[in-house]
Amino acid sequence: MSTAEEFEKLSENQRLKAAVHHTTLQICKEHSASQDVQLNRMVVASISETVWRKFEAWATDLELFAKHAKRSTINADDVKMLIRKSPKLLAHMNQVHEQIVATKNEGKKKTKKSTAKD
Amino acid sequence: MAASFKQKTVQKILQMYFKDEKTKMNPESLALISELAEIFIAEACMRTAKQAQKDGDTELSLEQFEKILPQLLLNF
Repeated sequence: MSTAEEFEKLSENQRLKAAVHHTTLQICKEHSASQDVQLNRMVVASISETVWRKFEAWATDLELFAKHAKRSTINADDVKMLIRKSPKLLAHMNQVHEQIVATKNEGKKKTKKSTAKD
Repeated sequence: MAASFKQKTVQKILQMYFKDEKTKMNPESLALISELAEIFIAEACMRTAKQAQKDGDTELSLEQFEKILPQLLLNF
């Protein structure tokens, strides 16, 4: 890899890390307001860095789960396997998943109706 | 809760760490992982805040974050 390519990859990496930090700060701001505590820049940065490492760990595991099922595309079941040890978290994720599927099916029904009218 | 990750951002990050270039995420799994990350951050923040209240502080500190970090990582 030439130095120019290496530099570009570095910038993309930095951009993504900045995006994670931005969203981390937003979420922390929302929650600190409700809990009446003051945020600390270093704490937010640490949380951001920890999420980043989590993404890395999740990516590796998800790829492995999908491969184990002889797939190259990761699906919802793979994600649910990540959190199998936390029952409450899993229950919440199942709910979220149902919502996603429900919205998806509503979208499909609407397109079916419009094609039927034609 | 308004703050959330952009799907494209999460996809790019995960893609960086896939070992096989053929590995992809389907849209549902992408949405679920984003949700998971958002919950993780919220939990990190809330647990640190609770620890701060226990210690009688009004501002979050690294020390408090470090105290709650082990259990947080075990739960996720």
